[in-house]
Amino acid sequence: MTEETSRAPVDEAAAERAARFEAEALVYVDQLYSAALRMTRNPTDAEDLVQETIAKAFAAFHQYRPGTNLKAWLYRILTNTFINTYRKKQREPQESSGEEIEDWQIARAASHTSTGLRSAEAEALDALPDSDVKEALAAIGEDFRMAVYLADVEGFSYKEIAEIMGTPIGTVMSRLHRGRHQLRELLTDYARERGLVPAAEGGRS
Amino acid sequence: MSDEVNCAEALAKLFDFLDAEISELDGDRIRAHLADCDGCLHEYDIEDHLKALVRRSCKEAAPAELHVRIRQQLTVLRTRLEP
Repeated sequence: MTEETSRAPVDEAAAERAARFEAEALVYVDQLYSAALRMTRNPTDAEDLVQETIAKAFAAFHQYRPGTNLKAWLYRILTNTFINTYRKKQREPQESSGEEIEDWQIARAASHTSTGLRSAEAEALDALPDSDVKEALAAIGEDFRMAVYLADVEGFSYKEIAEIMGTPIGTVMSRLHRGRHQLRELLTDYARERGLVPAAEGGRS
Repeated sequence: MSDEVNCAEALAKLFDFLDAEISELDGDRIRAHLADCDGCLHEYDIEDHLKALVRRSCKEAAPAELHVRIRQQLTVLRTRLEP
């Protein structure tokens, strides 16, 4: 008798939770896929990664505290799944991990005018096709790419990115600086190749 | 006031400013510097464009089949909840 009465509410809670998961988490599938595509750089892997992420999130949904940031929670699972499964599979050479806060602040402070892009040319970047931006993102280091993606596309705060990536905030900032720096170099090159900015001018001023 | 930002400080905090990860007071100080310094404003302008460009270029919808597969998967997972 006690079995009956004590088990029923638990089952009901699980069913309710499952319904809540479908109602609240599935709206993020498109965004998760978009992020997965940037991570894996491959549509098939991206689909598998999202599906696996949803399955894990569903299984762990009792650990999610209602009222906290569900999107960030899902991204953390996505990121962990990617790191544990796909990163190994993809065997991409990892960026060297000497990435504590270090030279970027100094580098930037010294680089007031050394970028090769002139003021009017910032607008030229807007004319770059999406495919160029995706290509450039795919070309930079994975940790840099993820930090930039999470900040710029998803609009996560540094603190949220630190939680999602499981790193200190200082590391997030360093990855963002380096990632954006590399991205900017690549996109400036692309803009030149496309004739959006003059090739000769501005290279070194 | 000794409160003025120089280029080194403005550039070091440029991303914090761009990402709204800065206090209102510091934000005002940076803003004041940008208004006076073409070099730093130029840097800001480029980074601002790049950020917008990345945001614009990377939105992608999941394929319809993925949505379907996930629904099916959840249906299976839910039936396992049944006693």
